[in-house]
Amino acid sequence: MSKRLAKKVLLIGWDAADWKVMYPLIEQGKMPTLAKFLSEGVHGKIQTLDPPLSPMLWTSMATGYRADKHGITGFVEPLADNSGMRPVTSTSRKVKAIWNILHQSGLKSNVVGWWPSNPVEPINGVMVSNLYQQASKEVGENWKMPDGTIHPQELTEKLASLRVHPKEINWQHILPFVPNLEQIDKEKDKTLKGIAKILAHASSIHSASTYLQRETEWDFMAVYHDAIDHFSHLCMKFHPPYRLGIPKEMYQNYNQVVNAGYMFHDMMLERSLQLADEDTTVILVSDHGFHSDHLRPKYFMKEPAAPAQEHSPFGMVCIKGPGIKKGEIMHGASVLDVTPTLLTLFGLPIGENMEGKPWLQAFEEEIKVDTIKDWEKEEGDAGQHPKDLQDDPWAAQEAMQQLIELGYIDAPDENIAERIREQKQESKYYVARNLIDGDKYDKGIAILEELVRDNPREVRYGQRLASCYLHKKQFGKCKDLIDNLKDLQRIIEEEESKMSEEELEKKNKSFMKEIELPNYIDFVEGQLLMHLNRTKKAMESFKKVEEKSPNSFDLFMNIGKVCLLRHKWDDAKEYYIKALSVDDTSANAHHGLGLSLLRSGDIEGALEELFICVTLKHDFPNAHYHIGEALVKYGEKENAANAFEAAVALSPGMTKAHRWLADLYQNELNNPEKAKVHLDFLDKNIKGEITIVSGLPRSGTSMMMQILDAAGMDMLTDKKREPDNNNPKGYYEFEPVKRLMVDKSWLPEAAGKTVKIIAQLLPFLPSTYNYKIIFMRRNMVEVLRSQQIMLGKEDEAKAEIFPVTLNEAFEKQLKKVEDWIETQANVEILNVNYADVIENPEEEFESILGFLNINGDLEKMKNMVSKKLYRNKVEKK
Amino acid sequence: MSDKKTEIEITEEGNLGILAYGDIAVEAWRRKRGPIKEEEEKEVDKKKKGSK
Repeated sequence: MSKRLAKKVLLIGWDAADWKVMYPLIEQGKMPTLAKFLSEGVHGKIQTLDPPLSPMLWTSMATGYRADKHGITGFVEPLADNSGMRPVTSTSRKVKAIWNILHQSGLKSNVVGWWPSNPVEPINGVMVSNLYQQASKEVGENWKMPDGTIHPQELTEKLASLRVHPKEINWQHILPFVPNLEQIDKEKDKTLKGIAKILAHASSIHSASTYLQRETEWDFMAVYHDAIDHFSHLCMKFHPPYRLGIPKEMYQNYNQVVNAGYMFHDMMLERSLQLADEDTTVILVSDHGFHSDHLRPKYFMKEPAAPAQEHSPFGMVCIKGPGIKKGEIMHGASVLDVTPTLLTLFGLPIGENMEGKPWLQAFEEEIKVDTIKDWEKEEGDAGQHPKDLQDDPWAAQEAMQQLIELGYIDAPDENIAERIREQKQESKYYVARNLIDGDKYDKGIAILEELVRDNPREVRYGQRLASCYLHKKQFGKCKDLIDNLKDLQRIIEEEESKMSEEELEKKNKSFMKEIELPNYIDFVEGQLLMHLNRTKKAMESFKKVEEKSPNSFDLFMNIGKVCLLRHKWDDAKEYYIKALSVDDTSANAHHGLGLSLLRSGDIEGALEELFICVTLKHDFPNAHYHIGEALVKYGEKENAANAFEAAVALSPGMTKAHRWLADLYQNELNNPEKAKVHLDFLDKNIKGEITIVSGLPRSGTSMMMQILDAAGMDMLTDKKREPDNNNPKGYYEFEPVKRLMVDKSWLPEAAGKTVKIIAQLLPFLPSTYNYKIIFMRRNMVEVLRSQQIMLGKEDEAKAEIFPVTLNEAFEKQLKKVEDWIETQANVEILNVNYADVIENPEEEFESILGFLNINGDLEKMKNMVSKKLYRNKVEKK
Repeated sequence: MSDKKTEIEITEEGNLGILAYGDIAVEAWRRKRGPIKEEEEKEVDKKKKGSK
C-alpha cells in the first residue's frame, strides 16, 4: 500500500475561476492570499471536459469518471411521476464519489455545497447540499431548507442559522462591487439584486464551511462556490476592456463587479487558510474558465444551456502542502485528475478504470501510486444512498412512458411531455459530447446517429455527427451528412423568409440572430476538404467561418494548416499567431508557427517557437525533428544531431530523422560509429523509396500515372494491358502488383520508381520501403458507374443501379486503408481529387510536384488531362 | 478541531470583511445589528393585520 502523503486535505472549488482575470489582480496586489498561495505551492491551468456544464464537471471531479459512467448528464432531470423537471440530484449519480471511497476507507469528510449533492448522503462526516444556500422564502418568514439538505440531522438547526439571506446584503456590501451605486435606480435595477443574491449564497456556503472547519474533526473537506461563475455570467460583458454594442451606462456601473467578486473570494480564502492546520494540503480548483477578453461571445448558438458558450476550456488549479513543490507551474492537469490526486494524497489506490491521473509533477519526491481494478466492485459500506433511492431518472422516465403508452397512467400535459422529451435528447447529446471529448468516438457516434434519426431538424446533432465522421475518416458519410444539413439549412431559411416579423421574433426569442449554425457546417466542410487535399476550397469554407467567428482557436489552427499545405508561409504564420493569442499554451500552435518560420527562412524565430513547443509537450517527435532541421540550417550540427536523436527516441521508425543522423555523423561530426547505427537502420529497414498511385479502380489512377509520366517520373509498368475504350491512353499497370498479397519479390524493382497499386492492396506493402502515395479520390457514384460500364453493364450504370452493398463495402475498405496509412511511419500521402484535376489541373499539379519534390513540365502534364474522358460525372443537382 | 480566532471589526451596518470571515463574524454582526429593517417592517405589518 502507498503511504499517506497528507494528514488532511481541503479542496476548494471556485466555479469558472480563470487565470486571465486573476493574474492581473495578483499583479495589482488585489488577491494577496492567492499570490502567497502560488508562491507556496504549484499551480497551472486545468483542462475542462466537453460540454463544459458544471454539474457534469464537478461530478467528474469528485468521481474520476466522465458522464457516461457517473450518470450526471445535465442540469435537470424528470420528476419521478413525469409531471415535470427538477434540478439534477445526487441519487442519479451511479458511482462512488471521493467521499464515499474515503468513508469506505474509514476516513471522515465534510462536503459543502457540491453540485449536485441533494439529497445528502449518509457519510462519515457532514454533508451540506447544494440547495443549502437557496433563499426561496422571505427572510422574515420561516426560511426552511429543503429535505435532504443536511447530514447529520442534528446539525440542521445550527447550519440553517448560518445562512445569509439576500435581504441581509446591504449597500455597504454592494459598494465595492458597484462604486457608482449612488447614481443607480436601486428599485428598478435587476443587476444589483443579482449581485446581492450571489453574495448571499457565497456567504452562506462560506459560513457553513468555516463553522465545520472549526467545529468538526475531518480528514477531507470539500467546499464548492458557484459565485465566480454567477458574477461572470451576470457582468463579464461589462468587464474591461469596453466592447462596442455594450450600453455605456451599464458598462460604467458594472465594470468592477467581476474583479470585486474575485477579490471577495480571495478574502474568503484567507479565512479558510487561517483555519487550516499547517499540515493540511490545500487544493484550489475550477472546472472551466470564463472568457474575459476579446473571446467573449457576442452571440450564443441556439441551444439549451447556451450561456455555457461563455466558458473557456481552461480553468485553474493550485495545490500546496507538505511534500508539494513551491512556486512551480504544473502542465496538463484535467478535471478528471482531481479524484486520483486525492486518493494518492490519502495513500489509497486509484481505480484502474478512472480516466484521470494524479498530479505527480507537483510532489517534491517520486510518488508510488497503487491501483485497484474498480472501486465500484469494492464491497462494504461507502456512505451511499440506500440502493432503492439510487435511480437513473431517465430510465425511470422511460418506464413511466411505457406505462403511459400501455394506458395504465395518464400522459402528462403535452407541453411538459415535450419539454421532458427535449431534455432527454439534450441529456443524451451531452453524454455523446462527453464521450467524444474522451476519444470514445464509436460510442459517441452511436448516440449521435440515434439523435439525428429521431430529430432530423436539429442541426446541432448533425453537425456534431459530421465532425465525428470526419475524425473517423468516414469521408463519404461526412460529405452526405453535410449536404443534408445544408439542404435543411436552406429549408429553414425559406421557412423563415415566409414568416411574419412577429413569428420570427418569437422564434428567435431569447437568442441573438442565430448565425453560428451554417458557420459550423462550413467549418466541418472545410476540414473535410482539407483532408481530401482540396485546399483551395477548404480555405474558402474556412474564410466564410472566419467572417462570422473571428476568434476561434480551432479555426486558426485549421487555416494555419491549409496555409502550410499551400506553402503560404506568411499566411500560416499569421494564423498560428492568432491561435496563440487564444491559447498560448498550445504545443501544436507553437509547432505550427515554428514550422512556418522555418520554411520561410526565419531560423531563430523557428527555434524559439519549437523549443517552447517541446517544453510544453516533450512527447512530440515532429517538433524535435524540425528543431533538428532548424539547427542544421543554423550551423549547430551537434545540437541538431541531439534533436534528431530525441525524435527517433520518441518515434523509432522515423526514417527521415535516421537519414539526417547518418548524414550528420558521417559528414559533419566525424563519428562513423554512430553513423553506422543509423546507416544500418536504414539499410535494414529501408530499401528505397517507391512512389505509388493508388485509389479505388476507376478513380483516375491511370490518368495520374500518365500525368506523372509526363512530369518525368520513372514509371514501373509492363504495358501488358493494352489501351481500350475505357482507358484510351493506357492503364500503366504492372502485372506482379496483383500478387502483392503473396509475392513481394518484385518490390526492389520498384525502388525509385512510380507504380500503380489499387487501394485495397496497400496494407500488404512491407515496412522496409518508404512510400509516397498519391491517393486518387473520386465521387463514389462516378466510380461505381465507371466500373459498371467497364463490366459491360451500361444500362445499370445509366440508371445508377448498383449492388446496394457495394458503396458501403468500398467505404469500409477505404476506411481500413486510411487506418493503415495513419499508423505507418514510412508512408506519406497526398489525397488528390479527380474532379479537381479536371477542373483546376495547374493548382493540383503544383501541389503534386511539391509533394514529390520534383520539377515537372506543367504544360506536358496538362496535355494528359482530357475533359472528354470525364464521362461519368455526377452533375450537381 | 481548530479554535484559531482573529479579531475583526464588527460594525452595525456590516461589510464584506465580515462576510468573508465566516460564521463567527456573521453571528457577531447579527447580534450587533438586530433583525434587519424589512424583517422589522413585516413584523409590524403582520401585527397591524392581526390587530384588525
